[in-house]
Amino acid sequence: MNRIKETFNRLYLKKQKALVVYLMVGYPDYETSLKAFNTVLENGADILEIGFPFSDPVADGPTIQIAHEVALNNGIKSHHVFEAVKTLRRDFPHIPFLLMTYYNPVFRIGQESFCCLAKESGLDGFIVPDLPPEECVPLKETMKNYGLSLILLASPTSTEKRLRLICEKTDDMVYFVSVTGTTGERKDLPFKELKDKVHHYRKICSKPVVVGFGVSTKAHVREISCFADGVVVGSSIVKLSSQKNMKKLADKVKELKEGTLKSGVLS
Amino acid sequence: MFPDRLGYFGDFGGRFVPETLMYALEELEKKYKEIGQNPNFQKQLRELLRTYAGRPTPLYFALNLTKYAGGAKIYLKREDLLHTGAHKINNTLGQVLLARQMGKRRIIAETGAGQHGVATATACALLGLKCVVYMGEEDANRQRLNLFRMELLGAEVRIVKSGSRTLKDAINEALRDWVTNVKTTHYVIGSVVGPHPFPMIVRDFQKVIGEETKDQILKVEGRLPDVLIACVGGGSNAIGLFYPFIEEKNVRLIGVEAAGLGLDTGKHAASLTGGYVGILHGMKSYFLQDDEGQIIPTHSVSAGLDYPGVGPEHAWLKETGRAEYISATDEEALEGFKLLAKTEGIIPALESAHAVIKAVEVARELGKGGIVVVNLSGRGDKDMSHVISLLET
Repeated sequence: MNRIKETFNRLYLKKQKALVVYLMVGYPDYETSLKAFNTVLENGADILEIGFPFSDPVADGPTIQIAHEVALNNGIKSHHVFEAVKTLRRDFPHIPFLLMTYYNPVFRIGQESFCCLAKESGLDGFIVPDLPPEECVPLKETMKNYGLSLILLASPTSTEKRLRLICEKTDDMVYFVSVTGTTGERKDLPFKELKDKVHHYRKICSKPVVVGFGVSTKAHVREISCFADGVVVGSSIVKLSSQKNMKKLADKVKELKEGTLKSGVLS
Repeated sequence: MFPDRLGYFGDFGGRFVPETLMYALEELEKKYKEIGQNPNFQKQLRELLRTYAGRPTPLYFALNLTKYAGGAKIYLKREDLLHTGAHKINNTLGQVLLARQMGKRRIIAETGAGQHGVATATACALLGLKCVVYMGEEDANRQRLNLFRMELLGAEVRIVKSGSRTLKDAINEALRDWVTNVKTTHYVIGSVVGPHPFPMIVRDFQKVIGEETKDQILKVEGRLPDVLIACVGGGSNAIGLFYPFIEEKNVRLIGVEAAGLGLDTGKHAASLTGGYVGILHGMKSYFLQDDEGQIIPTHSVSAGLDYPGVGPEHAWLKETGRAEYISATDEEALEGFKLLAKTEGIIPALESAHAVIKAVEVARELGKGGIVVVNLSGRGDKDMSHVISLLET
């Protein structure tokens, strides 16, 4: 069984939901990003999303756009990303690592080479925000040969027909986008509507679903944990990592993790 | 028939966008087929193009330029005479009319040189829709006049300060807006780029250029031209001219990309000539990018060609060998700009000047007895202050 499935099973038995945390390799600099990855992993992240910098991140809001830009200005290349993953994998053998990357770098480097490097480094799969189910087959087939999972996204605008297609093509879980829009912190999220959407999804698809985009506080995490299998937090964590304050980052992750527990307290 | 069911022109095109936009694209494709092909819609659009935009545009025999070149006859398809000064209005009237019938009340657009932004703002003013235009900061600086024009027409211009601050980043920002406001908003893409069905829709609204050209040249010359030539940034004016001739295998199709300071300097915008296949802005096509798929900064004297990608139908025409793609440098474009002004009393847009200068070469190669048609896609008024500063330095 793969790490993603194992993680959801383990959390299910413990009556917990998954805390998925996103960070960008090379932001604010390579060393700090490694420290930040370690910090979030040591303090409660159940699944890690590893950002691969790209020149044109159309699905991202201002905070993560800056992270892409700075990482590229820092000279971050694919080999830095894979090196970072390798280093983290040594210390965290069981946590799923998902690479969050736009499609062009994968395509240009070559799907075969990219998947090979990804597998070697210890990645479990990719999330590719600009690759919808209709276009995912060539990459998915290559990934399958390397035992990598392709996680597809669903959105509030996905029709029932589209949800079926997404469910069929995605591996292990679905990343449900909370609102129409880009990544970034939001004060209010439409929980009622979101809950209905996720319930609707459950009738169609039995694969675990995590909810992301706009999620930044423990209260958000707690609300979403009532109906989803996990919660993704990105921009607010990226912002903290840029301040290079690991203590603050650790506290934030602990607090968010508490939001995924039924009792609200870590046992 | 291209594009195919999935929006591909051979191996190029497709639909590479966040899931949130997928339904909107499906919906747009469906509505376009219903409304766009409807005779009433067609009639309404034809009337607007005739009485408001100024179609048909003349096909002008450029005698002086022909004499100067000393070879084949050169004809100019005068899209520069259209309302707002370029071919862009063909597409914006079509798309804004379509959006209104789809019940969308808000329009967004990106712009490089500002021509598409002005044409979108114009169509929105005419048809009563709210309009937001994204423009890169660098482009806003080189095209101040168009910025004021858009505001005068009631559009809100949002200056984009991310990335390279040009057209590419304006498209990124427009896509971010669309993904956020997709329920109420239609995105009027300005060229034959983006996810399916945009390359098809924009082509369909621009193909009137080639259809008229065909009729007009047959009337005056009794035969089809030997060569069609047009500048290519995203490629909408070129596709508009080429499309009705694709099956006419004896007509050579030549696209002219922007070679900027020279192809070997790396400072250019010739994605078909110097780029690699990749995925950006929702489509699989040619892009200027590094070995790791990062999009690299482009350069062209003309903001309208300053884009690191190209429409998928052009990628397909190149791959199949049906069209040829060459390039003209900034310096050559400026020469074409001055040449057309002096010989014909027509000041072309810097974009179109790329095609003009190459048409002279092609006319010479072709020799007497040949016929070349150049798409004069826009007029140069917008470029005056930019050219003054270039000629002074």
